[in-house]
Amino acid sequence: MTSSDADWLDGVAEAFPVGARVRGLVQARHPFGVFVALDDDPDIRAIVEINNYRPDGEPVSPERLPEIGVHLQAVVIDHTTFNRQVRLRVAPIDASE
Amino acid sequence: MPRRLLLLLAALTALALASLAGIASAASTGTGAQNRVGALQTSGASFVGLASFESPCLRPGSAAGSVQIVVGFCVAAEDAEDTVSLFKAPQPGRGASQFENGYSAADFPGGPGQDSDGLAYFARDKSIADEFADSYGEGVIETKVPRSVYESQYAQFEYPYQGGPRTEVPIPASAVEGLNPFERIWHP
Repeated sequence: MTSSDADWLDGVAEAFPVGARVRGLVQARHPFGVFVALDDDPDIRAIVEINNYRPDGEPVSPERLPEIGVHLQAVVIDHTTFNRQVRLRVAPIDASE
Repeated sequence: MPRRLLLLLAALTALALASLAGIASAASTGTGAQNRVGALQTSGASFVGLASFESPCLRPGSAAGSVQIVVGFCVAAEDAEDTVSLFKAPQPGRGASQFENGYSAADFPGGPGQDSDGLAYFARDKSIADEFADSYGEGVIETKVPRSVYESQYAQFEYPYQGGPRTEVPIPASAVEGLNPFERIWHP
């Protein structure tokens, strides 16, 4: 990992640690998932890959990914330095939380 | 005996031999009956009346121009070189092409900072590809890369998947076609 990557990781991991709940707006939609502009920092590239988009707990086909402009609630699950993205998961919300 | 009958007998015999060899191979590798490309090399002509095609999927060191036969499933590589398996779930509509022809750099456009980042995402762990296959519905394609090639060219791209014990391998589009000479197995 380059020092630049390490700096990026330090910054994003502090602002959006794994497990953090975030909100964001779907900006782009592809068969593999959607890109999300985070409300707290729209410059961060965040992605919900299709295997991590299971709002009802079940896998969805690409047609069922959320449309551009939809607001999402998600959980941070990873930070990938090789493409500088924050990975998110959308899963059923536990009513007890 | 009529010539036509002789040809038919020859074709049936060849089919039986190919099937027996395939069963033996599947039993020895524990993979079961699956679709394979880049597996069986024959030095002769193709079998009359059987589904066959000349695949670009030639194994390293094999005689260029030899004909490959696909008869449901084929024989695994006869050489004993250790391989590393990479798994990928084809996006809808791409499974047959990627299985038969391999991967094209054009299928993975883009670059750093763009939505499509110019990377072809493979997995060392089939379970990762299975998760995507649940959504794409076209199964998983396994590519068996000789370990020496993998370690010299692709291991550098390994990354811990979602920070856990599983490994993904995001391969730059410019390097993805280098996987095409190697055996592919389509797990439905």
